[in-house]
Amino acid sequence: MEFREQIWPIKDRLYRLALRLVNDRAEAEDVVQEVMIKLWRQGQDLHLVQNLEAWCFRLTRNLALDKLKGGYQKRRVALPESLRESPSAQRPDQQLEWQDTYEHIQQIISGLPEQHRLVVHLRDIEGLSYQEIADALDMSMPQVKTNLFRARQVLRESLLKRSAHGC
Amino acid sequence: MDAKQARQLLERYFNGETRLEEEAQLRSFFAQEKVPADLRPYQPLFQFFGQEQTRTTSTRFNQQLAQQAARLPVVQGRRRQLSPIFQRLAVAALFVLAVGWWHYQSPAPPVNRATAAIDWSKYEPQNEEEAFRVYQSAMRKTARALQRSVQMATTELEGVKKLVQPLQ
Repeated sequence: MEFREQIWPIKDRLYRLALRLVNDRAEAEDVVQEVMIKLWRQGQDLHLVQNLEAWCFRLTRNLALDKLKGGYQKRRVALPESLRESPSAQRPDQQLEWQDTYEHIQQIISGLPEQHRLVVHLRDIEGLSYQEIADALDMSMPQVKTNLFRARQVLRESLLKRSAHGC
Repeated sequence: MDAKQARQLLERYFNGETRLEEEAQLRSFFAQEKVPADLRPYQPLFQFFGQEQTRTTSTRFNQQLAQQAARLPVVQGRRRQLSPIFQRLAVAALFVLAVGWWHYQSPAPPVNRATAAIDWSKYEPQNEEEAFRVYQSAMRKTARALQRSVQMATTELEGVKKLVQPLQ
């Protein structure tokens, strides 16, 4: 069955994409739930989809954007955000520094234009090829490359600026 | 990968020219503890990407979703419904095909190769009374054949109706 074999394993990837857009864990989970139900209702018609993963990413993006357009209400009780631990930091002060850096990068990415943010996410976090990104975001390959180039340039400048300020 | 290679690759990375494998090499380079000072500003970026890959939906959500999936019926491919006009056309086409098939299956009258040898004058009615009997017999045969045809057409139509009923 497509659902168990192909959809369930990618739910975390869909969740991360939704989270990148709505920036709220509970809302991102709601998006994934909606995607899953939609896919479930497609049943065996899923066989007809050529690139299922890209199609799922596109569906997730559309539902997440719909949610944003609808101006969703921020949850009163946010789901607890697990503490991001540095893979290399040993001491508590290093951990704190890492938390700070982590938040900084998160903010830079959140501040990117939507298309740049999604391209960076799908490439650098999900490891998709240019073609897969183009399919998932319904854009051309040159557009993918241009968006990626611009987004990475912004990331580079921000990191260098932060480093120059001794943070 | 040494620092020099990393620098070159990093340059290409920021220009959006690296392949996925090269990006993976950069991630593993920046995952090590000791990184040259000039490359240190970029280290958190690759660590960030690595950490983000570990984000997953909550256990509570997974349980809820699994329960929901278990409750939902297994959906088969959606059944395509023909529009009423196409249904009627399909019935008409089936009827035409059925009638055609029946005609095709009916045995053709045997060819009488001895036609030329028969002396038909022997069978000619000799008087009015005999002619009327022959005419009556021919009409009866025709009526029976017509009746049989109507019955067969009705049976065929019933069959077609049964076939089409599930679509309605």
